[in-house]
Amino acid sequence: MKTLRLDEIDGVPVLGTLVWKPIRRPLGITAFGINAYTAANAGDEVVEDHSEKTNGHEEIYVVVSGHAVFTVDGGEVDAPAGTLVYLDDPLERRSAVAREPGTTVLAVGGVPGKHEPTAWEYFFPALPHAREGNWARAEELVREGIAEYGERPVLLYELACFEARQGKSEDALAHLSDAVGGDARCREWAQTDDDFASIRDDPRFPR
Amino acid sequence: MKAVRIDRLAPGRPEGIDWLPLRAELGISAFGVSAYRADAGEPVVPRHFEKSGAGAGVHEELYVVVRGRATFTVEGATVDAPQGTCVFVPPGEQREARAEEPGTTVLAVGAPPGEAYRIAPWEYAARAACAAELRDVDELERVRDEGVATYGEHVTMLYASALISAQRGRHDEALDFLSRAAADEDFGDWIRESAPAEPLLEPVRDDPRFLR
Repeated sequence: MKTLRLDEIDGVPVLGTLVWKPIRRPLGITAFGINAYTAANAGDEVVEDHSEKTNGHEEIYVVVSGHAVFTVDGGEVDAPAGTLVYLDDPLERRSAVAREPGTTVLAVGGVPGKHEPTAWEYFFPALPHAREGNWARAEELVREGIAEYGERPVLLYELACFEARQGKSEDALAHLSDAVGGDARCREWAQTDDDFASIRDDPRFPR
Repeated sequence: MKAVRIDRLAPGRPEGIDWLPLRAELGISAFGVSAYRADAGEPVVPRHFEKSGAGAGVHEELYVVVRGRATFTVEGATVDAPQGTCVFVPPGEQREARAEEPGTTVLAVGAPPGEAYRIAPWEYAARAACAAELRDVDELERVRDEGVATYGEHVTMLYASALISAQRGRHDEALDFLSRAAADEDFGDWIRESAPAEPLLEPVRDDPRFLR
């Protein structure tokens, strides 16, 4: 048995005003995905605008405290504490904004017929450090993710980003090449990614 | 997309605890999710293992206290769990929880590690028990058919079949189902205790073959 309290989990600021509270990874859950998101202020995002096209997850969001408003494919759902919003179609676009400070939303996800963790959980911890320009710490955290989760293309891509920012051109080019080899989307992302400004003119940069 | 509010759902009480069958209500197929609700001093998570062979799904389970306060007991260790506490329990550990405040509500999320999720037998049994309590034989039959389609003649579905057959006037069949259910290693004792007081078995209760 392991326990956590939502208000004692350190929040990780990730995208925009979104603050992620990791649950699945610290508890070692492998059978389904589960994390929480909190908003310090009314108006902050508590679920980022996204679909589950890539992961193929069914998702259920549980408003544990506060009050949120969900937007799902353009339709709004008023969601006070105790509301569950279930999205069976991974293609539905979903987002939510807090209406009260301290709103906390639990997100549970899984693929019908199977489950494995998703790669983003292993690079989200690096994002606040990258935002502050602490590229070495960001690289360290992604390497920890790779050690735990394996050389997934998305993680290799993030690793290459942080290496390139530190002038580690050879490592960055090698990891970017591996990422592109494993997931063609990485080639597309790399073309406009500012992280690769220092290596974009190298003839080995994937076009 | 579907949205529900926990406090507006009508609970069943298959194990003497208010049970909110969220997975079935929403049609979730990737993982299991239910909520339990109880007043202070009452059980809010029934004592159980997630072991193979009984009605459990051998699931990893995460309990989240979404309202009130509970005390969990896991393998003899107690955990004070105010609102916002997450308690993760692997399949082999015995767990239960008691509500400490009125209206305490605990969300339970579960799935088997390393394999595809499928609805656990207990969920069919719980839905069947709710239907039986309401004397809704048509709903009981629907749940039984779903359970049999997934697990075949699991003991819980044998018992449901006994109730249905008794109500449909197929008395020999009801007694046969009941006898087979009562012989089950895991649930036999519970069935022998429950069947004499089960109203849906009234049509066959005076038969000398009842639970023989």
